[in-house]
Amino acid sequence: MSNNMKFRLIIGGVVAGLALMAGIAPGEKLAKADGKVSATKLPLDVKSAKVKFETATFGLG
Amino acid sequence: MGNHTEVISIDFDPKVLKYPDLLEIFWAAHRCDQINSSRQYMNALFYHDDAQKKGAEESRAAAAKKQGVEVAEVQTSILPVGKFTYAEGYHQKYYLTQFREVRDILIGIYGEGKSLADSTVAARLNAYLGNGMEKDWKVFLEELSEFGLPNELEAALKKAATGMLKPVK
Repeated sequence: MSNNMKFRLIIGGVVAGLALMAGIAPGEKLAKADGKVSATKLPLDVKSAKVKFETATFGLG
Repeated sequence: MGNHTEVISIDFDPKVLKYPDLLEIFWAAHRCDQINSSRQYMNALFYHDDAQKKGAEESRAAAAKKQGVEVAEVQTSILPVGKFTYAEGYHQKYYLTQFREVRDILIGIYGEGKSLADSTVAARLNAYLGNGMEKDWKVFLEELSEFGLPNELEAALKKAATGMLKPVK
């Protein structure tokens, strides 16, 4: 597996979200991270919500 | 828009994947002497604890050596993570945006905001559809039964996936 392929898989292959850090303009109603997995309607999501995840954060230019 | 940096936040199971694995892929994706065009679009590692900070610093030194970059020329920052705000829904799960039928069903289940971004199902489907089904078709079929998808979603997904498969010559 090439690194590029692995990268794409990891970007989409785990719980991942594009996010903005700090200084959001007033008035924008965007969700804040709260450490909780809010997706729990499908069986795999219910199972994943029980996993003790760690978080990694990257800026990619 | 204010003083922010666009980032990707990855929640990973440390029993399956280690932080150094992610670092390896991060460094393979860019050169450490690439000049950041702005704070909004910068190459940076945002650490969550001291162990990640140490790992990030060690990996940066190794990447610089591997890429033949002098320490003084390294541009990739290592910073403490800040407050995390989810980006708008249209930024989430990029590859699913190319498969509207699948995405629309998921949005019907989770909405377009945080829940969709948090969904492991959406993340995996996004990866499969973005990576080209012909590479992962067998794995996909094996995993599909574990997802517990509604019939409507499974049918739309197979339709989208089948369209991506290249005919065997």
